[in-house]
Amino acid sequence: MMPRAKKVLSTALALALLAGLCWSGREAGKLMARAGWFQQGTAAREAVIPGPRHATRPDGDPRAAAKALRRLRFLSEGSVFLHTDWETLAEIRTILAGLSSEELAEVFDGLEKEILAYSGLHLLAREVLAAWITLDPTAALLAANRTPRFGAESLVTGWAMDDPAGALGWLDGGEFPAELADKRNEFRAAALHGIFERDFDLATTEFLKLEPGGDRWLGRDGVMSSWASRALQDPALREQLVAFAKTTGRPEDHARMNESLLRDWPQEDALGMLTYINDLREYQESAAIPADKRPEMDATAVGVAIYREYDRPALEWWMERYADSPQVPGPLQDAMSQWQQKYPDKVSQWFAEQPASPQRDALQASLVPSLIASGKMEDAAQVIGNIADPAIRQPALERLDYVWSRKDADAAAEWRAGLSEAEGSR
Amino acid sequence: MISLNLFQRRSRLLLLALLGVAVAVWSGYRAERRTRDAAGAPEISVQRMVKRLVTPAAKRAGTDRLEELRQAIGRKFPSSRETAALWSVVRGFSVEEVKMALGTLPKESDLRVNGEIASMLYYRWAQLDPETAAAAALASREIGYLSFSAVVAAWSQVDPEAAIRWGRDSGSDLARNSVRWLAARKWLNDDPATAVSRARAEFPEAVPNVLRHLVTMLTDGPESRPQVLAILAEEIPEEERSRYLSSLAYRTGPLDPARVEEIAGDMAAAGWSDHSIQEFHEVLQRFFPVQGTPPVLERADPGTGREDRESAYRRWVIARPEEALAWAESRGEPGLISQAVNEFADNLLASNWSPGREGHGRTVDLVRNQFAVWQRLDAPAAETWLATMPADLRNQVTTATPEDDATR
Repeated sequence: MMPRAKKVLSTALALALLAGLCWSGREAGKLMARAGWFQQGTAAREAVIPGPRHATRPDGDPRAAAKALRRLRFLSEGSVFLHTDWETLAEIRTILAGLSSEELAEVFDGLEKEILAYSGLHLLAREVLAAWITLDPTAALLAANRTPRFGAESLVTGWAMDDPAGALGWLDGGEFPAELADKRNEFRAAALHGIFERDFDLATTEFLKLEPGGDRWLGRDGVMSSWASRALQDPALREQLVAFAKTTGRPEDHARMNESLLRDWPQEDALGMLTYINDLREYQESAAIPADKRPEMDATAVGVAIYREYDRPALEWWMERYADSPQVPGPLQDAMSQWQQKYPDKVSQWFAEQPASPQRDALQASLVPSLIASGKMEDAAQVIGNIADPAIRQPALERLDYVWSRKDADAAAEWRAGLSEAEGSR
Repeated sequence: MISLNLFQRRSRLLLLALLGVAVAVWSGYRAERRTRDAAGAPEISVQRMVKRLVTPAAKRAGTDRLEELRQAIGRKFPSSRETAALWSVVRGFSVEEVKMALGTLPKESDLRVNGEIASMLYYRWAQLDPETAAAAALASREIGYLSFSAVVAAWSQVDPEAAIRWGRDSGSDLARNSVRWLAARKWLNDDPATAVSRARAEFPEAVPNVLRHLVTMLTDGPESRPQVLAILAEEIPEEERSRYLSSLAYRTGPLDPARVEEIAGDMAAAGWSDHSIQEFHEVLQRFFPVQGTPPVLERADPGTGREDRESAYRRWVIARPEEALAWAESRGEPGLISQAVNEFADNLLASNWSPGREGHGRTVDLVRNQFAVWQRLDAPAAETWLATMPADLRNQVTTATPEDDATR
């Protein structure tokens, strides 16, 4: 009897172990898929989307534009939500596809006269511009550019999605109007927003033509950020982009990409994120970043790692390199104050563990402005009290004194009295 | 002999177990690749698979084509050509096909293409059977705004009154909100004179929408204006007018100034108070600052309050710093400048700004440029003020291009 029971038990155990192994194996398989293992490239799907329809209509009707305008207005005004009124939208697009460039200009002119007064026609005007841009981009964009609300840039994005060659050819061609010369960079950025998911190689060539800086959407940084967050869900594309960002010759591009990637990296892809962070560390330590840009670039990477709660290892890495520096680059100042707001106890604990160093003092000083801004004057005073280096403490002290005295003169005076007492007893 | 046999049996078992684990890894990998593929894998269930098997190919063609397009668009934001292709398929669907397609659309997906397809499917359903479509849209938990507005858009093309009634009584905030505009438009279209009272009686929540819509009708043309203004004056209590005046200013702002004056004149004629008209002008000036010197600064009238001038100057500096500064320097107005510098500096110091952090560059520039002019106009006063400033700011004001130094 006994040996039999033993055998049953051991078989059951073995089976349970096997089941556990299979389950872990399956989970591991999922993790590998999320991290993009064994995925060489995004499979190109067959182009099943039909090209633009060339509408045919009897030529020579001099009143075609006026008739179209009347019909378009009727359709637009009869629709309560034009952007999801799919049938009406399709009809509007069919009418517009049948008009010539001159007729579209006439229709737009008719709309523009009242457009500003009546925003219900605003969506219709955008449709007219979208049709016009494919026939005569110069005229359409000059017209759109007259009013910021028409969003000339987003028209370029839409155009570049369906006809990248046409849009980019126009941008670099001789036809590009002098009046829009200062918009060229923004238009290229706008076109890239439409292209980077669709043609990686073309997007990289165009990206390198962008000027550095610019705004958060239509500048080089903005394009890189959105590109990265769009690539995040597609491991193969993500890998391509990471490799490209290292080679642009401008480490800020990589920093921007990294920030966007790490911020949005999905929680369930732990394996992919860990692999990526190892690779990131290698890059930050490589010679790809010139010495003068290193602190800023490292600070950006550490800042976003703190945001992703990878704080301790990232800061340890930072302190190894910058303990002797009395400077804190802006991105790390931002990250530290956000970290402090989220986990005040964790942050003071971390500071308490750090050996005295100029960087420790400077990091503490960088918390002061945010504490003041959120009205936590006592906390700011306490942080300042922990700063050892007088050269770093003094500016923080002056700042707190100035603002606190204006907000609550008595409390500030009390704090100052306590300070001089402490100074006296030293 | 016995032990060898046992060993063989063991190794065979081990091999089998390894194979099992390998299959498990592979199946996990495959399954995850599938759900992460392009636009997301279609939902599967036994019932659906059986149904698919018994449906003739011709009847499946539409939904198959839709799925093909969906996968081709994948994660991309659909272009207008792609959107048109999607609709060209969905617009011919029967209710049966709509339900089939909705059933297989991935539930846990925030991809734009799936949202657009869901919106089109509900729209098509609402064209064929609005009440059932609307109920289904409400019942579906992952319903987005895109789908709901599609149902209302389609329904309102055939029977707006029914759509309004349904939305009003649906018990859903989303549904009620999406028909408020429709109600306002519909009733104003029927008869502007009775629209407000109708809304009060049938759908009180839509009253503000009716009033706001009426406000926008002021820009339609001079013929209807006296009537609209009279209704507005009667329906909006004086103390609530400000809210609507900003809508009006937003609409009229970009118009030709002569037309704006015409509207203001009609307001007076229709019995609007001077206070309301003045407020209208003020809101207008706030949204669409007129180029040139703000009138209050040019007024020689000693009765003009100092504070009015100072705040007008500050607003001007924020809107057009160079223009304002050039004016103040040519006029010799150190008082205005010092007040502005002080105000901006205080704001900066009380914010989370610090040297090297992005996001306050414009204010830092304002302080620096204003200070430079103040120094030219009244150096001793400017220097005295600067000495009272904390080091953070003092260094920013005196260094030529401190923004280059991105560290503290």
